[in-house]
Amino acid sequence: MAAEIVLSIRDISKTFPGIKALDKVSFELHKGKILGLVGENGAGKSTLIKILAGIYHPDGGRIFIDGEEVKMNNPWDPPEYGLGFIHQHLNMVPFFNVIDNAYLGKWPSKSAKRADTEKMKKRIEEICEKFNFDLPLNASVKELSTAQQWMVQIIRAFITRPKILVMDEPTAALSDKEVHSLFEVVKKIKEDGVTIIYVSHRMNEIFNLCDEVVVLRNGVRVYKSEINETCVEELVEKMIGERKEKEKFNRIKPGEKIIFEAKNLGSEPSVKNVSFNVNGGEILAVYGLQGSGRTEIAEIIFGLNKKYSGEMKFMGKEYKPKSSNDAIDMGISLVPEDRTREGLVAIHSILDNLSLPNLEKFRGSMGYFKKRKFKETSNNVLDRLKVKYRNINDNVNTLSGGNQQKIVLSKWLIKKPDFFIFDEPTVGVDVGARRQLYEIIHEIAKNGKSVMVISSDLDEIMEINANRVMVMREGIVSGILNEYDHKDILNLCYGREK
Amino acid sequence: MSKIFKKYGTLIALFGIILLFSILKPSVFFTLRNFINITQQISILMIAAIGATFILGVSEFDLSLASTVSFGGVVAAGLMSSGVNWIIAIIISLAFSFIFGVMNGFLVSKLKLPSFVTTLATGTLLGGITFWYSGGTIIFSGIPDDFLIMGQEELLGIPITSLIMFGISFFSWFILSKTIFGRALYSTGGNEVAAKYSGIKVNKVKIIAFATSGVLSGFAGILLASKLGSAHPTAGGGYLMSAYAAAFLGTTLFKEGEANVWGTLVGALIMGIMANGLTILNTPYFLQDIITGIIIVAALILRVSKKA
Repeated sequence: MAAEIVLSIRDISKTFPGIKALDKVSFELHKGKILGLVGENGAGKSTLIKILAGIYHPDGGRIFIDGEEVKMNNPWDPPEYGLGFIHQHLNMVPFFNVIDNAYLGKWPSKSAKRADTEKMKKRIEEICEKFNFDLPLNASVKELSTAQQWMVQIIRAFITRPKILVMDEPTAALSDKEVHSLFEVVKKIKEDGVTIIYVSHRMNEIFNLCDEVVVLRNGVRVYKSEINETCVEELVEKMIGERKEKEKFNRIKPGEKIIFEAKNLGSEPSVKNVSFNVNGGEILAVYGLQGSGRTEIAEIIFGLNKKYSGEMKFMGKEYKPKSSNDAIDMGISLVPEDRTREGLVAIHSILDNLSLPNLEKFRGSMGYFKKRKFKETSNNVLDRLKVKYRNINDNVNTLSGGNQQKIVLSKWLIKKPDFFIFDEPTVGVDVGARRQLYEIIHEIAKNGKSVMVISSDLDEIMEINANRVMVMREGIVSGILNEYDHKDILNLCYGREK
Repeated sequence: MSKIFKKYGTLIALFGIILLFSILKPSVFFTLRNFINITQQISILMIAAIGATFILGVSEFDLSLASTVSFGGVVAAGLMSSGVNWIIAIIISLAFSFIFGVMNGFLVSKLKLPSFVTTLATGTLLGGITFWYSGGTIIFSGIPDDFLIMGQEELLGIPITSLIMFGISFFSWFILSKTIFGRALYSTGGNEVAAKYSGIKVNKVKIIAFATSGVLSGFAGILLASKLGSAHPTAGGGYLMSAYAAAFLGTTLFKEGEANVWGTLVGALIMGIMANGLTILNTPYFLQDIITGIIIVAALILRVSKKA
C-alpha cells in the first residue's frame, strides 16, 4: 500500500462522565480508498465521527490532514480542510426544497440574491449529473422518498467539493434495492478520487465496498486489516470480543390450530389481495423491500388502518379492529418498526413504559394503579429477558438500543398476547442483543403463541429460521416458502421466478 | 452543589423569597395570619393552574383559560341575579365550562387542530359570549349571601377558599400520580404515537384534560365572584399568564420536566408570595410584573439545563 495518507488520527481520547468513549484511537486513511469503521453500539464510532466533525472536542490526541495538524473546533471548520459528512440522521427542513436544504448554512454569499439561486441550482445540477440522480429540485424534501433524501445529503456534502467523505450508517433506513443504488453512488464517489470513511453495522456492505477496515470495541481500536485479508467471522469476533457463531435456531414444530387468518386483504395502493395464516407456535417471517406493503399489513392487523378491504379471522372468529385498542384487547401485540417514535415514551421511566398496555390489568378501586404489584411482575419479566438496567425508575433513553427493544417487548410479554407481530425487531440493535432477541422470539413460539416477524434483513430471517417465509413484492404476496435459502427469497422478491 | 441547585432551585427560590420578605418586614410578613392569607390569595390562581397542569401533562396549551374564568363567574352571577338558586347557578355554570372544555378537546384531538391557535380562537369566542351575556358590565345585584360564604368565610380559622384549593389539589394529585388515568395522560403528553400504539385512547385522554381545564377555570371564576361579591366579563384576564407560569415553574420540581400538582403549588406560592410581599412593601405594581417575568425566564432556563 503505497497510497499517500490523507488523514491521520493519532491517540484520540474522549471521556464522558463515567465512560471512556475513546481510548487512544489511531489509524490512517489512504487516498482514494474506502475505510470501513465497524463496532457494536457504544463502541465509539459516533463519538469519533463527531470529533472529526468538530461537534465534540477530544481530551487528547491529534488529527493530521495531508500531513499537517488540524484542529476541529467548530462544525464549520471541517469543510475548510476538505471534510464532508453524511450523518446518520437526515437533518433537514421538511418544507424547504432540495436546493435550500442542500445549501442550508452554505449559501454562496451573505445575502441570498436571485443570481445566487441560479448559481446554487447549477452546482446542484452538476452534482446530480455526475451521480445520475433524478431529483425534483423544487419539491420540498418531505415529499421525497428516503432514498431521495439521501441523495440530497450527498449533494449537500459535495457542494464544498470534499476530499474526504464520512458516511455514518448511510443505509440504516434504506431497503435492499435502495442500498444497491447507494453502492453505485459510493463507488462513483471513490472513482472521483474522494477518500471515504464508511460506518456501518452491515457486514455485507463493508465487504462489498471497503478496501480497509478498522474495528472499535469499547473505545479501543482492536483491529485493522485490508479487507481481502479478513472475513465476516473475524470482524464479528473482534467486535464482540468472543467468537459467536451465527448458528441457526432449531425450528419448532407448530401447532395444528390456526390463530390468525387473512383473506384478500387490501389497502390501496400499498397492499393488494394478501392472504395468509399463522398457526399457534409458528414463526412466520415476512420479507420485502421498503414499500412492498409489509409494514402496511401489520398496520391493518393492529387496527391502525381502518380503510382496508378483505377479511380477517382471529382465534376462529371474525376480526374487525377499529383501533389499536381493539387489537390489543383481542390479544395482538405489535413491536413497531420505529422504536423511538412508536414504541417508547423516551422521557419516561422503564416502569412507566412497561405499564402502558397493562394499565387496566392493574386497576384498583377508584382507578388506582397497583404500582407495587406491577413492579413485581415487571421485575420478573425484565430478569427473564436479561435486560441490563440500574433502576426500574430510570428513563428508558438511558438504555442501549438492544435493551430499549427488550423494554418494548417486555411490555407486551406482561400483557400475554396470543399473536406477536415484530416489525424490524433488530434495527439499531447490536450483535449480542440481537441473538438474545431471537431467543425470546423462539421462546414465545415454544409457548404456543403465533409470531410474525417482518424483516428486510435476510440474515435475520435465516438465523431465526422461521417456519415459513412470506415474500412481498409491490403489495402482493409473491410466494410463501417452507424451505428456503437467500437465493429463493431474493428471486421471489425481485420477481425473477414464475 | 450545582446539582442540588438544579434539582431544587425552584424550592430554594421559594424559601429565598420568604426569607427576604421576612427580613424586610418581619412584623407584617412573617406571621401565621399572613401565611394563611397567602393561601387564600393564591387559591383561585392555584385552581386554574391545576387545570393548566392537566393541559401541560398532555403537552398542549389552553389559552382560553382566562376567558373561561371570566365566563364561569359571569354566568353564575348572572343566573343568580335573575333569580336562580345559587347552587343550581353554580352547577349550570360548571356544566357550560365543561362543555366548552370538551369542545376544545374535541377540536384538538379528533380534528387534530393545533391547541395554541384553536384555544386562542375559542377563548376569544367565549369572551364575546361573556360580554354579550353580561352586557359588558359588572354583575353584583341579586347575589345571595349564601353564595358569598365559600369565597369570604373561614372554617376553624382557615379560609374556605384555601380548604377548597387544598382539596382539589389533593384530589388532582391522586388522579395524576396514582391512577391509571394519570399514567395514560402523561404518556399521551410524552409520546402520543407510542401511547396510541400501546392501546392508550389518546383522544379521550386529551378531551378529559381539556374538560378538566374548562371546569377548573370555570370554578375559579365562580370562586372569584364569590370572593368579590360580583362578576366582571374581564375578571379572569390576569389568570392565563399566572396559571401557566405557576405550572411551568412546577415542571422544574418533583417530576422531571413534567407538570405536576405539587410543583404547580410551589409555583403558585412563589407568585402569591411575591405579590403579597411586594404589596406589603408598597412597591409599585409594575415591579411585580417585572420580577414575575424574570422568575419565569429563570425557571425555564433551569428546566432546559435540567433536560440537557
